[in-house]
Amino acid sequence: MPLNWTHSAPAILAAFLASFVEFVEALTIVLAVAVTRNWRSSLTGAASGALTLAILVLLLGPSLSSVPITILQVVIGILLLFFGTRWLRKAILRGAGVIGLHDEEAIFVRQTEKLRSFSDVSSGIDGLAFITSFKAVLIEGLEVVFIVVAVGAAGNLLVPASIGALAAGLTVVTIGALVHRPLARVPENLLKLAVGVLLSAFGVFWIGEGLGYAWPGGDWAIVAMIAGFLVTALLMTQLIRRRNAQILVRS
Amino acid sequence: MNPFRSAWREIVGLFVEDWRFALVIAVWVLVAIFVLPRLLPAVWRGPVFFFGVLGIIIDNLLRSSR
Repeated sequence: MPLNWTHSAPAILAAFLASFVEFVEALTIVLAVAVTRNWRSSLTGAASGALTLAILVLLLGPSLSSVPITILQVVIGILLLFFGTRWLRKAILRGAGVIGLHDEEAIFVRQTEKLRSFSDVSSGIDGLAFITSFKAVLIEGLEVVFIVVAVGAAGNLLVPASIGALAAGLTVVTIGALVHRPLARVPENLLKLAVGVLLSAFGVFWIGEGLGYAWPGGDWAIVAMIAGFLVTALLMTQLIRRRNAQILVRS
Repeated sequence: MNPFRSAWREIVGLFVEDWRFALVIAVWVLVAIFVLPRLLPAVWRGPVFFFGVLGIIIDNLLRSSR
């Protein structure tokens, strides 16, 4: 069946961007563990985390097809709306300077210092290194799985969403293998803003679809809502930044 | 903390950070499910729901940035 690009392109993009952010966060911890403890244990922990995730997906994935589509659309729409607006809100507040930016380099330094403070590294598989990497990959991976399911399940777009997440994973792992450093230069806040915009629009759309709303313009309503969230986000970032600057000047 | 409990906390944290914001969104979703279909024709429900979400975000941002 040919891809419907009105649906598929935003799904691939949303899954790619959101998963990219999660993979970068996992990479930071796996690298921190590898350079302070040992590479073998860190990579074994990461691989075990990925394997556990794959088993969870294989066990739980098929059960989604037994849920009626309208219920699935509303439930996933609600989850997407919470997830998307949370990222959107945070990205706007960070962009406006109200809260600090996420800093992978600082997280890497903190993590390495913490790991160095523990006992000596064992020569075989180091338990601390294994568990820390396992946990990082499992937690961030669960978020990736949620993103793929949330973006893909309601609109029969699991394949495009999985392609987006897979591409993000391969990109991050390749860059990580080449540079052996956390990806501190990734414009994470911009990515989170883009993901927040896309997922919020998807969330509103799927809730409406599940409830039988008649969207003006049909599927193009998604594009209109993406534009609406984006314009609002950019305007609010500017507005808050200017308002806070004026308050600072007055005081 | 075991990895599964920590994963659970992370998963909840994916959806909720500001509890007030999450609560208002939840109430608006309930309005979309139970109230809008009684008040508005089908073609108006989507735009009203969308602009309601935008309004909630703007209100929360103005409060949070004070």
